[in-house]
Amino acid sequence: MFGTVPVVPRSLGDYREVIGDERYEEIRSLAEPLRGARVLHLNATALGGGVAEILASLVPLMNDLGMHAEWQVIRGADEFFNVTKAIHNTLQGMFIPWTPEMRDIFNRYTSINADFFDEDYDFLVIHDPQPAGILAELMQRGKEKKGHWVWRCHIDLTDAQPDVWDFLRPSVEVHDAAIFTLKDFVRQDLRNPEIFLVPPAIDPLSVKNSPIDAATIQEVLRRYGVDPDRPILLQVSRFDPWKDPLGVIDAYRMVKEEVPEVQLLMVGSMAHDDPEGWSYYERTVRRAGEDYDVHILHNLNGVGNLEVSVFQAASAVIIQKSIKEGFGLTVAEGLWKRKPVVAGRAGGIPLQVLHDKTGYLVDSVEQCAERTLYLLKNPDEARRLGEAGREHVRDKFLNTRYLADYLKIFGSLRDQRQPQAVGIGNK
Amino acid sequence: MFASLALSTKSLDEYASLPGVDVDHLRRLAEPLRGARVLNLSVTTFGTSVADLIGSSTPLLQDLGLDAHWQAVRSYEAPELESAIYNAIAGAPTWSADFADQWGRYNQMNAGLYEGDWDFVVVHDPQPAGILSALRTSGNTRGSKWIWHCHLDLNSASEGLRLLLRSQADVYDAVVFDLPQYTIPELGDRLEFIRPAIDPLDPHNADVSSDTIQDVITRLGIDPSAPLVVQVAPLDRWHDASALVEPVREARKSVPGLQLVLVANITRDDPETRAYFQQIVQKIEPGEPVHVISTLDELGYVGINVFQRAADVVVLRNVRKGLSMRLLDAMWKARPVIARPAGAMAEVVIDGQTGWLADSDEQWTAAVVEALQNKGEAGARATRGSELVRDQYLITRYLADYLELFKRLR
Repeated sequence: MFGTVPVVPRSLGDYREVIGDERYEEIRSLAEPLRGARVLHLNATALGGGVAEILASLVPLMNDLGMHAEWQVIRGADEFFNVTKAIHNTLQGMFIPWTPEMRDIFNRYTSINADFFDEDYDFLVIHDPQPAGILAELMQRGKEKKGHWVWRCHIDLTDAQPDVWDFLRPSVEVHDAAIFTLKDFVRQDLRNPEIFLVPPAIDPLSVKNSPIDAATIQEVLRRYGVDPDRPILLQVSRFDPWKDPLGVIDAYRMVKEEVPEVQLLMVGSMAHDDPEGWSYYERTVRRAGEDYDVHILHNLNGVGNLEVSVFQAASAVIIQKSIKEGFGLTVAEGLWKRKPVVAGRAGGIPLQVLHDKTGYLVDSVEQCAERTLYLLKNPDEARRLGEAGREHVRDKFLNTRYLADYLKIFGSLRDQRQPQAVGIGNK
Repeated sequence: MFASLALSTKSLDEYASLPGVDVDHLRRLAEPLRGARVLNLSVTTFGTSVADLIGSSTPLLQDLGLDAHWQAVRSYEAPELESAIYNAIAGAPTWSADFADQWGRYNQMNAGLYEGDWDFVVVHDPQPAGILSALRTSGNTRGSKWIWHCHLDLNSASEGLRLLLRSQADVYDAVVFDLPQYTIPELGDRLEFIRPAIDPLDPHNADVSSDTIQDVITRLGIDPSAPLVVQVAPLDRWHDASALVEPVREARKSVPGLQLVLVANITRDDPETRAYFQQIVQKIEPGEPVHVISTLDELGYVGINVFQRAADVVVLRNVRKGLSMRLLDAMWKARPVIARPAGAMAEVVIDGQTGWLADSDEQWTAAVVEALQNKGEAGARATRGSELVRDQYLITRYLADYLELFKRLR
């Protein structure tokens, strides 16, 4: 077997207050016919990232509902993970030469991992490209396919590098089903597996979404040099051209002409080995110049979930001025904290920001500035959008909905019927 | 030119209310240095204790009237050189003439990016130390006073690197080490010592309400009603977290429900960390209350702070001789502490006075049990520990040391 990842037990009951009795009962009844089902989630790492984050709550919740769910990680050495990192990047549209050596390394580790596969499950959820070859390898060895195999793809495949996708596609196609995040992320040339859509979700019980008392919020803001008594605009995202941090600073400057006390907080995530990220970060810092009301912070100078949660809770308006976006889950986090969000019309954002209902969708720096200014000057309107935003997230983007989607998919695979509509815009 | 850093503003007045801090003394020291142009040059920019130190001290020097700046030398161009230097400092015999050449060229490149007129230039750590001799060659040092501050322990450094650093150190106006035990005989006795420091007003030490502390640790799977031992350190063999599992398990026999939380800075792609993480996971028995909480759970400085505040005892199974700033933070917050009797840490964690020192597993178990069961003794030691940090390891003392050094050099 693979390495099993220990998870902190969770109970659906803990979510009852957040989601209400009706949804709670619905999830319980969806799970009832699946009681006792053996479920394996297989991915490449227990150490962080969005997939690990969602599995950390999904797996214990499945167990709480009477299933036997496990989370295991495949094995591999650096050479394998270097190749899978390249695969990951090429599937997202980057060009990296795909060599026979890379293919051999991938196949060799797939074979090693197939050797470790020695247990029976009813449902196997294979996350992302790293373990995607295992089923095909087992079938090639003449093993009988036991259980329902689902490939869960967390990335946008539309611009995938053709030779890499061609290599991977046959392995994917032996799965019974494939789950994507958004309809737009699905490859049109993918045949055979049934396609399901499960948009991402936030965990209302995670540290990211802790309610924090006012005194702690004030104290933490001060320690980061932010004035708790003046309005704060916040964007949480990486420093890259698609999130338009320079546009955010320009919009802030326009707002500041009319509201001189406004402050801008930009919080991102940086990696030491990402020169492009650093060079765009540097451009952002330069654009901010000597304006000490612009605070540019990131994980490497100590900002984690708790800090982000504090910043979100303290903001007057949250901005997500993306030009290109995956799903943009930080928008849901902001909405969940009852904040109005001004955001670019990109990727999954329009599913979260309903124009004039939970925030405003904007297409330019000027619009971004104008809408932000409007919200600063009309706090009642900001409150109305914020409240609606929270309800929208409660309805659509909590991890309990994510759990329910999985239960529906398992149910439909087991019944071998046509799937019920799952998530948003099911294909 | 280099990339400029340090974008926050800080006011020394905020430090005036802290116990044992004499802001007026600092202002008097700084008076004759008003307007002095100070440049900190480092290879590190974020996420290290040196970066924290420069990031806190630079704006405070500005508040004291000095024209202080922080710039980062270029580093991406030579990742293999960077790791060669790290390995050579750790004692790997891989430092070659080739690397020495590369290092010379790297410093030439940085010398070409150096700009400005400065009264004092502080070059931090070995990586950029060659910039001064490169500049001397081109006659571009403009009468500045040059200080090399090495924050790293050079005792294990390989022969080749030592000789190289000696030749570089000779050209500086002052050579500063954090601690006497970090130096090597090759550098002679013309050395200054400026101990590192914590910033009591940075996010590591922010006040957090007990409600928020309880809420956060509960959300991360920790039981707030059961006793808690916490280590904050990287997951590597130099901070032997896996060696804590068994002594704490033994202590659990006397202290039912005892939880161990390992708070770690993790780089996902680092194979050593991954291997070490696996080693710890294998030691943990099913259901045993041992938790690894990491920066990959997106734990930030305030999050680390929360765990220190939640801890009944903060421990450090330190193998290296250096000082852990995180343990100093915990002591500042008056947490009872246990460390290994290795190097500088033992000068701060004084057995029987400011904490417990433990070496063997039996000693560790005994120390953990005593620190948890004898609340009076634990509290008394924690208070003395906090006073020791207050007197010797706050950023204000670091500033005073630097102001005095500047005055002497002028």
